[in-house]
Amino acid sequence: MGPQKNLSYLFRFSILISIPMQSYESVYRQHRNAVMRFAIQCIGNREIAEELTADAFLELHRHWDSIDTERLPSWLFTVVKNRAADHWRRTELERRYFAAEASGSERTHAPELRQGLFDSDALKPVHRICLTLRYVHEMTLSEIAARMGLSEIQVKGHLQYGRELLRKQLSREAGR
Amino acid sequence: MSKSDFDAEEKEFRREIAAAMNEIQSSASRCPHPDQLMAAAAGVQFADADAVRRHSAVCPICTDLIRDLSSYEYPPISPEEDRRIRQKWAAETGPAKRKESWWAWFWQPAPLATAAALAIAVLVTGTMVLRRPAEQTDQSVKVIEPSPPPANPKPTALVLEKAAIKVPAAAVLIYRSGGESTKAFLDELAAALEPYRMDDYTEAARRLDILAPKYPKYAEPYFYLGVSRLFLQENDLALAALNRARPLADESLRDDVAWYTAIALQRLGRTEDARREVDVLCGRSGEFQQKACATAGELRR
Repeated sequence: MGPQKNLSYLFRFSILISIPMQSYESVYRQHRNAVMRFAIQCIGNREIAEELTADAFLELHRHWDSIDTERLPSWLFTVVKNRAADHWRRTELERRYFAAEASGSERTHAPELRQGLFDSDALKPVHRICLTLRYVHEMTLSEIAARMGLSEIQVKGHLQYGRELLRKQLSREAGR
Repeated sequence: MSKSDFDAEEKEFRREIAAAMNEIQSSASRCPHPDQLMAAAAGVQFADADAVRRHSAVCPICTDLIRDLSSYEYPPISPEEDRRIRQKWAAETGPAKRKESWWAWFWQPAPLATAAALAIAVLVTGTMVLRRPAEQTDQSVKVIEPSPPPANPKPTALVLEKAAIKVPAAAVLIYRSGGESTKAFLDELAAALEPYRMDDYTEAARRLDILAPKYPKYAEPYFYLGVSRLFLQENDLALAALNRARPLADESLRDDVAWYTAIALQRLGRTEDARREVDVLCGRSGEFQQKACATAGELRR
């Protein structure tokens, strides 16, 4: 290896030390909303999702020296997913909702999906979500509002719009 | 959960939909709680996760709910939530222990100047030392050779950066002229790329995985799926998606596909194939030409 080549390595090294590393703060700002959103999907409850998000960034802080930022945000999602699994184990919510699931799961033989309950092109996803949470899962207005990050009045409005639209659709279909 | 806050009109509505709901639930058992549905869909492992997944695979109500909640735009972190999250670090680490603090210090003018001076000193000393071996060998003085470079050094230019979102030009023209299927494609593509825009590559990959086979004539879903997979370090899946995008890509996306294919190949240890990709890009004027030529040189070493 000649001196010329060795020099090029030194030169590259000098470039390397002049590149500013991505700061923890900028990483946090870049990924916080995506991590929070994923945490809500894993856990449903926004307050607990906030805790999981904080935990994930705390873990990142602890491993900041060794973490490869190219692995973000999937590394953060994995932390959230593991914490969510811990949460589910602790609370044992599944036991409450799935008391009958052991026998119920034997009945899951439908070969293909049929039409959904609130199928209508005029309904937006937010309407369908509110209708399903309210009339299938029997959640209260405040529970739906907290889950969706909406006000109760907004939830009421979405439900009213959805009901009216579905009723019109049903009456049109009945008139044919 | 309480049923007590249903008003009279809502009770009536529930009676109207009861028959349809019972029919659906008769074949798919009782619907799990939405939190469990979403957790199972996100891949969280818990006691009944498999049962929940089995249910949601056959229940149209739950399938719709998962799809709608996955695409729902939750409000971003509020200033109050942000403050509480930051407090949690502060409680554990304290402001003085923050890892970035020494970097912050480093970028102050004085340390920066010192570091620059040191770097120059290293360069000058290195030049002087490296010019001496031939003379010193004659005097039987042992010269310590610098460590050889690794066999396959990772090209510094072949670094994964987020691909800009490009909308197919032809599709936009058709959109303006009112093509319904193209409108639907663009709308669905926009929804699928929303998590990509927010750097949520797990969710982006999940959505694009569904979208791509639905619109097999378009390159974009496969391309952004490939890029998302690269960010998730799923390099073989990324390559598979990019290979699907390649024959579908028009002029505007052709080089992007080739560049990210090169990254996937290089990560999979197929350096020769990666070099062929960047050689082609290097010989073609365009957005990637400069980067490709630099990378081609590095891959040859």
